[in-house]
Amino acid sequence: MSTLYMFPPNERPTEDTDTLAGEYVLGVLNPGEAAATRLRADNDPALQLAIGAWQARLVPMVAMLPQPAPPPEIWARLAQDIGMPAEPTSASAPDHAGDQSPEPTSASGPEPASASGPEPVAEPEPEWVGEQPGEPFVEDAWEAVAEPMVIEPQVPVEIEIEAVIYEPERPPAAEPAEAASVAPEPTWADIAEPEPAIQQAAVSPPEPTPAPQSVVTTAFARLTEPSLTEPPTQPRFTAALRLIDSLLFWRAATAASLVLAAAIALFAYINRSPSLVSVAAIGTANAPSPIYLADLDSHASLHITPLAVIAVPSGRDLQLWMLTSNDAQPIPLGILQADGLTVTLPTRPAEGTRFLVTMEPRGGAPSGRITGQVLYGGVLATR
Amino acid sequence: MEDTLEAGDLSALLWLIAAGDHVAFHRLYECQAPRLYAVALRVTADAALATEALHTALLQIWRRNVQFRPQVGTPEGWLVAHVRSRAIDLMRRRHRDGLPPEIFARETDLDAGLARMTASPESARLAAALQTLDTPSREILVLAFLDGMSAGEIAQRLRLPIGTVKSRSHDSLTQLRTALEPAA
Repeated sequence: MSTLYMFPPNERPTEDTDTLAGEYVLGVLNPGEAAATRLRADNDPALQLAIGAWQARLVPMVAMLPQPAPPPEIWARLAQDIGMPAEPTSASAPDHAGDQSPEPTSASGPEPASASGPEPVAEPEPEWVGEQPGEPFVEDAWEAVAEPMVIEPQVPVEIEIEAVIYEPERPPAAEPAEAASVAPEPTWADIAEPEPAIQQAAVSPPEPTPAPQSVVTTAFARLTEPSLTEPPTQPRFTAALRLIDSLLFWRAATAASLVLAAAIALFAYINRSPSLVSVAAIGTANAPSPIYLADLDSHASLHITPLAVIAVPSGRDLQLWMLTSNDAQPIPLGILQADGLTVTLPTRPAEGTRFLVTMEPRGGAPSGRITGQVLYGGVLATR
Repeated sequence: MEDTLEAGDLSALLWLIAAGDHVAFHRLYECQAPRLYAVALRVTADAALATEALHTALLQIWRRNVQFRPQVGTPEGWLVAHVRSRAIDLMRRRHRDGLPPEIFARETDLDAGLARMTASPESARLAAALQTLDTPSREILVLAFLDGMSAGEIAQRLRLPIGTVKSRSHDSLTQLRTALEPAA
């Protein structure tokens, strides 16, 4: 597999731009030149691509270095910082190289699943940002690229859910009129049923609520920004979109309570289509809106609907994959066309199944394994 | 010894990490920490500083202070660039008055380094491309990329005019680009 980054044909940088990018990555520009390059990259996709390509070209040089084992305290500190549960939840996570156990000390304590997101604790602003103009602060260059990757503090989701559920006659704050007109079917009144369950979901962590019969779940991306909630190509999703309108993406590994909240929020909608049993929103982890919606009916027929127009470079295709667990090989499901994809799955995907979208050579990854970059993803939880 | 991942897998890990997946973060650490630590240690020449750099860099990834953008690069390249930047930041802050001898004058065993580059096809390919350069040019690339030295420092170290260092690195990059052009 070639890991060299290939430019889409129409985005190949000029030779000058490319060499500048190389010098930038190599670190031989003087501080002023480096700062100017960084600044220029903010608005120059070709330069961004060239920088990424040079990073990819030069990175194998790292193999020249001897690799002593990193001090175990690095992981010990990180585990504590991130509130890593004492037991790695995956069998594939043995202690690092026989070093001291990576388990966090008791100081971190068990973190409730609902405490989502990186700690809101006053984040020490990385004071060195920009302080060293000579340094290749490469990641800054990515800020301006393509889709908006909004990084926002996480806020309690439950409150928003409550607002939606308990005041059914009031559409979500964003755009009442539109919500009403665009989504004539499932009305808000229809959706209001399962109160008791919801009440608990809003306050309690994973404990199973008397959950409704057929449920569902998921949602990574938040569907808030009205301007970014492109007109769904299929009206039938509109209600679901409105419903999970103010959801922040939930954290895949831990946020059981949020999953449940999302599940219940979607439940009523799903319930109206008896054959429709699961839904997943597929997007980037912290982008404001999903890129695809996936729904699964009781016959294990998966239907993917794009919510936005996605430009794919010529010679490439977007391929859909299913990941049944962290350790499993991703299973290729097919090429996403402009209007989505419908595929019948061999087996019913279980709760926690992830869907990934990667960019691959035209026709899909030839080896049946992911070779390109993962662009989007989403998680399915089915009761 | 190193647990390796395909680019696609690493990309998926970074994606899961951005979504707050602890297990993915731990897996990233297992797979990448040795080489990332090696990068930080080479730049800083100090175990404590390298530890600090790697810790900071990884925590920034977890907290999404920085984010890999799959559209514009490879995950390996991005990860190393990120850790390298943190290491250089810390090294420069520590040594405001110029590089100390343990960095400025340390030996660069190019041959041993090149010999290590046979492990993967990608590194073997780059090693072959580096072999086509003359020794001073190769040394310039290594001092810049791995040691984090500036063009001025490299000039001083190799006793070359700075203009020569710049023109040589410019030429080397052009040569490397051609040599690494995907055969198509």
